[in-house]
Amino acid sequence: MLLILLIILNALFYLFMNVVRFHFSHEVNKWIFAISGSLFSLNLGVLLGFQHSVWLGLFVLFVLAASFEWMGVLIGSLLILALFYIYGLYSTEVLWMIAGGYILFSVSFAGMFYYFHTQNDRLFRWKNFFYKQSKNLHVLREVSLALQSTLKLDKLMHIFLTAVTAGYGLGFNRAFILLQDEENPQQFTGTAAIGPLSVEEGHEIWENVVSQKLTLRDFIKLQREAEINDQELNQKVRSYTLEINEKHELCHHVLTKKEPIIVDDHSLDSDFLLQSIKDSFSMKQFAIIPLLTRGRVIGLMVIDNIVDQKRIKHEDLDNIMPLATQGAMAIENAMLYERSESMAIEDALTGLKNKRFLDRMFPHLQESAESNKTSLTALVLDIDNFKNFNDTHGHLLGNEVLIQMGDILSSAVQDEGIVCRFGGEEFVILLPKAPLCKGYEVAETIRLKIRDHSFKGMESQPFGRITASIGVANYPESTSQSDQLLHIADEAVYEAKDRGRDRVICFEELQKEV
Amino acid sequence: MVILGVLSTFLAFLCTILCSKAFYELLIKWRSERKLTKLKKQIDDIHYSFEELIYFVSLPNQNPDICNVNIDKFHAKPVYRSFIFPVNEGLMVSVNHHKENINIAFMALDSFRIPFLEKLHHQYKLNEKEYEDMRSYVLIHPRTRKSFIEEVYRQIRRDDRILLLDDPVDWI
Repeated sequence: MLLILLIILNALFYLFMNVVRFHFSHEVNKWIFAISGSLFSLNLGVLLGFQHSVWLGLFVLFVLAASFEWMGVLIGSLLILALFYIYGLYSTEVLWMIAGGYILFSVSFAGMFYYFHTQNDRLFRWKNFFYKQSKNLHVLREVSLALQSTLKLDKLMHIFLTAVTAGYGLGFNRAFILLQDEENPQQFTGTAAIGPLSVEEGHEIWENVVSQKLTLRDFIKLQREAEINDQELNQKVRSYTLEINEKHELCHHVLTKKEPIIVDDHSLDSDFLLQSIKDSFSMKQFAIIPLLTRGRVIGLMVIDNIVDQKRIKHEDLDNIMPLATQGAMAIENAMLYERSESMAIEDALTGLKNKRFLDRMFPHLQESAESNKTSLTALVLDIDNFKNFNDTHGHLLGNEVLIQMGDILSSAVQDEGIVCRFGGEEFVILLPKAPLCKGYEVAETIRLKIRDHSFKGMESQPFGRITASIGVANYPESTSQSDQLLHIADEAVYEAKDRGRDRVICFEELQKEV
Repeated sequence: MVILGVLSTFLAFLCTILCSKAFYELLIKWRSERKLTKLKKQIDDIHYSFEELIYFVSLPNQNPDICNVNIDKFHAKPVYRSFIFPVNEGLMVSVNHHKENINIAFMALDSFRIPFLEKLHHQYKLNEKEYEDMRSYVLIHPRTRKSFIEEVYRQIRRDDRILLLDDPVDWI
């Protein structure tokens, strides 16, 4: 009875050790498994008698084969056979037969474990490779769809950076974009960023993001929230400028060879610009990726893993390059679109807004004034005797006067209104939410500034100076029909001309006279 | 008596091969729950990220064998490597339809990120082994499996058109 109890206890001890072994690291786990299996067999040998040690030895060999494969069974077989020999348990002939059996058993089991082990490893590597490829394809698909959704540069940057930083995307902890300066191609200015400034901030933001269970498309939609979260980093990045020349070996390499680089501590010696990036953003290891479109570098993207400190590998760069190129193309398209948009609504000579812009904008302002019951003041300005000036000095000097006139108007109005060149020498200024008296005040300031300004060739004009006549009208003070505003302001200009030019006339004055 | 000895050895052999996975799960459960109690945290309060889920099907999916299947046909099962020394590779979400098993998504344990645990690991309050075991425990927990199924189900049926709706051009 006691023997039965001991056999059961022995088995239970083995099972207990089989649970306990998982408490330790993989290596210790193997040793515990091997030792507990050997002890189990040894104890059974003691309980049942050593005449049973041949088949008990097989269990020891199985345990050793599972733990240490070839080496385990080789040492195990030799040790067991040596013990059999030393204690003289079997005759030499029987011992040879046992040795033969053990070799056969060991080869089978160790071979089987070796085969499973190598196949498992190979399968695991392949699976990992395909999982990564599958994820990259998925990210590319998602991001290309998202990039097509907009032509707004800031939104595009957000989508692009989100794809690089979100776990749903490529999963880097932080990324920022520096765009090439149009006038100075060697200069790159920080434009947008996503990520934390420190590890602690990273954990905090990330915990929030995870608790809200956001997806890639949620991140893309949450542009404003991302900007608030990463406000500090964005401020820092936007005030950051890189001037890259031949002295900055590695950065210059990125521009000329159009290849990404990984910056480690040892690469910092050859390029002090990299040291500056590292220090400014508390980076350990980072990568610089060129944003390439049609063979031209339009910007740089800097990525790092500030939170989890995961090393960036060359394989990661291979994955990011197609996305970076796609992002760069979208950014360039957005920039071109923005430029053509602004060209369509801007006067090429003065840089002011043009009549097309006025035609599109005016109904919006009109509607806003009517629905919010606020006022809207319009100033129409015409340069006096400008035909005479052009006839005397030619159109080139005439254009110069128009440019300077644009500067005077812009500086006088600033953010309070919109200045448009209506055509020829005529300008329109719209002052939303400004009452008539404010409009008159602005008009008078402009008139005096023009009068006092020293224009080249002005001595040929009447009284030796260039002047302007300005008509002012206000909704609702001058008219209850807001669509008539520009028309009545224009009438006031004609009246100013009739009264001798170089003056400001409000539409009210005409009405009073009538 | 010898028969009992042979039987116990045979059982030990079988248990080693068949029960190691269960023993591993039992130990990480015991260990993780003890640690969570110490940290005064419950498994329900732990937030994790779906971000690294890898999909084997395109999203959203129009295949009727996938998109028309009821959520109760979806399963999330942990994937292990090796019988005797089980290593948790991740969680496979699949769908059973007409007796056919279609793999839909996989969450690799290496990529399974839990900010709370990562923070503790970073602060040296969890060692490497504890961190790995707790991550594995959270991943195989029934509640996590359920939420992964729900996430995959949601993604399969998501509406992509929302991404194509841009704001109107701002003139003012």
